[in-house]
Amino acid sequence: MSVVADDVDVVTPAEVRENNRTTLKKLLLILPVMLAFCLSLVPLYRQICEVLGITATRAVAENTQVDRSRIVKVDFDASLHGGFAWKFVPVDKRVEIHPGEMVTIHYRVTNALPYATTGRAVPSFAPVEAGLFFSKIECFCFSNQTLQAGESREMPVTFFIDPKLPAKIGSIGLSYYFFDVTEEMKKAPKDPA
Amino acid sequence: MASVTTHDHAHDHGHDHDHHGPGPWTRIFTTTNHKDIGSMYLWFSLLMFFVGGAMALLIRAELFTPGLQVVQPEVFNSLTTVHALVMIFGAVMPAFVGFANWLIPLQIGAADMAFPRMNNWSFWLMIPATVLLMASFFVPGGAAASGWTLYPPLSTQGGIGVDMTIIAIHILGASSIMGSINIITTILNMRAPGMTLMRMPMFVWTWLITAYLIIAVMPVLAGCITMLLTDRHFGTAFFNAAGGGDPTMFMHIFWFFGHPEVYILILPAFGIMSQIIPTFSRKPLFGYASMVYATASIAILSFIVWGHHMFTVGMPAAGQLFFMYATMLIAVPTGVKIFNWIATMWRGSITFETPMLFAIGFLCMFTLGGFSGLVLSIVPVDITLHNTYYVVAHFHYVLFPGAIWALMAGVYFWLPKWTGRMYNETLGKWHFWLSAISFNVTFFPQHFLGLAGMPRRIPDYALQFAEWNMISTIGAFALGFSQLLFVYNVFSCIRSGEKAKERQWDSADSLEWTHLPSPVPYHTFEMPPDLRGAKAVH
Repeated sequence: MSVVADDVDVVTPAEVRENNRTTLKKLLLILPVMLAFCLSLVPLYRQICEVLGITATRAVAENTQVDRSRIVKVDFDASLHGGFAWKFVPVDKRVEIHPGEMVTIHYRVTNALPYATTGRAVPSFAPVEAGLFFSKIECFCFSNQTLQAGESREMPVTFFIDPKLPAKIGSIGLSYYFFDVTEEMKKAPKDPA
Repeated sequence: MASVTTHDHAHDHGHDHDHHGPGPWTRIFTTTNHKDIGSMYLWFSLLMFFVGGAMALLIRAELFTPGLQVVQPEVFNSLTTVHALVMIFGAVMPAFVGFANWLIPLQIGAADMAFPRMNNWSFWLMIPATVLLMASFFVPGGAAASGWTLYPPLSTQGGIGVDMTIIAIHILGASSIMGSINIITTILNMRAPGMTLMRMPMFVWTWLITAYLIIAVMPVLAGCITMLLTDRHFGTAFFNAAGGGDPTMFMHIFWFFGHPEVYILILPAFGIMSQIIPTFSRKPLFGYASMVYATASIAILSFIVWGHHMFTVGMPAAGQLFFMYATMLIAVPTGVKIFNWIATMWRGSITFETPMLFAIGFLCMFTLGGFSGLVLSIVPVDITLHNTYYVVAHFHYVLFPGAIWALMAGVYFWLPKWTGRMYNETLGKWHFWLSAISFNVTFFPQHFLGLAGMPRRIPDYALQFAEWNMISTIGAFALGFSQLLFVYNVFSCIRSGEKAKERQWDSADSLEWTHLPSPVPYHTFEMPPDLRGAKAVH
């Protein structure tokens, strides 16, 4: 084993320590950058979903013509998050409508509990892309719903289907899922969304 | 670089200062020697390998026949979850870090790792993390039962065991980030004169790339599980649909970490293979430069394929197509590596010592696992096979004969160098053949089960799955118990193996074989070897 003589590309231990410290600083910089990247995914994800039209609800309703040449079936479904003691059923289980036609349907919700509770409904569509063409004018899912003990309420959804709905979609399933947010409301008074 | 504990009384003593150092019990806490820490990593991961293996055997025992007999469904779910976490974060990753600690300084001609005290710290962090993870079985609500991916809403609903798991993963992540910083700094700054980047042994190269992967994705995992923690306790709703969040986002963030993690588990294995195969083929590694570029390509591609873990989530067709093609693209650099290994063996003077047997086993079985991965990359097929036993078979084919066999091969290969003694070759061969047969008996039938529709992570199953499950369980117990041969072989090698030669494998040509005696002294390369003008060492 030959021992290194002084030479240009030989570094002293002090220089190695100095280099190591510099490298350490550079590498440590990657950590907050990647953490920031991770956290930036939260707003980025929302933006991408909106741009791609994966988000279920569409904010802007456009004025459109009714397309009488087509009929679209819309099925309504209701379910509750595990153990949430409400009753939640669609009053109108199915409608057959023309694209562009404004319709109002109802859901019935009952708080079976002996105290007031708050729920939040989250919609989903089948097929997913149908959500892009589903314009809601009014919906109980726009805000949290607080029901007093034993209260029962009929809640409307007013909507129309954009005539640009692709021809391959002949029927749409709209499902609402009610979450119990009573505890969340107590913990975080401001709207976390 | 003198060890910290002996600093004050060993300024210029050179080699003798370890002889009047602290006693063995103080030494394991205070050591900063890369060889000590490498060994501690390896022992720790061996222990965790058996802990995780015991959980796997409980899972297989439950699945021996239909119905519930051994464990309750809740415990079963915890077992599948913690088995995966223990194997990934407790066994495979620390074992590779152990190899890195032992070998990187030796192979690049450095005296020690760049930050020896941080090295000690990153090892000892793993102990409280593992204790937390294992203790979570005994708290109310039990250990996390959501699968190792910790998908909400299951992971936002569990008890305190989930919090313990999250904290444990945080600590393990910090440990592996520190380990990686150490490895990168060592490789970039502490190579001996003449050891240019393109002359480094492949093991060093693969670890350099792996370490960058770890630093890039561990903070993403940390951020992801921190959001989970705040969703659980601080009223946020990142992943809670009721609060305007989206559980699908968790999957995206998790797999942005998770897919590079897959390569973190396999790239160092590729490095070990690239050391062993040329040695026993008595030929230099075929296509060294292409190996380096292939490894880097795999690492870069790993960041853009995460979506293939979630094809069924309701992704637009364009997204599915993108992730499908990107995933298939990874087969190209991986194929380059496989063909390079085969070309290395082509017309070589091959002998079949235990490390080479494991290496050839790795080549065959890993390729098979790679192929089932390609099958799963096809969207329509994946939609059918998603969450079935086919997926379980696939990733065990790449992880057991991939990562674990590479580790076993590496241990057999370097034991003579580390201990100065030879392992028992006959026992080693028995270990290989028993593992090879029982592994296939365990996991090959799981392809059939998955194709027939048996879902994973469920403790009970329909009657038509009974035969193959029974065979799989028998294989699993044989596989588990054959690993005891390995432990016996390692212990008997250390205690009473035959004396090993300085260059036990005649054509091994990295520095630890050509420049150092067996066993390697406690301190090596205090003066770096001069490699300028020497022939390439890969």
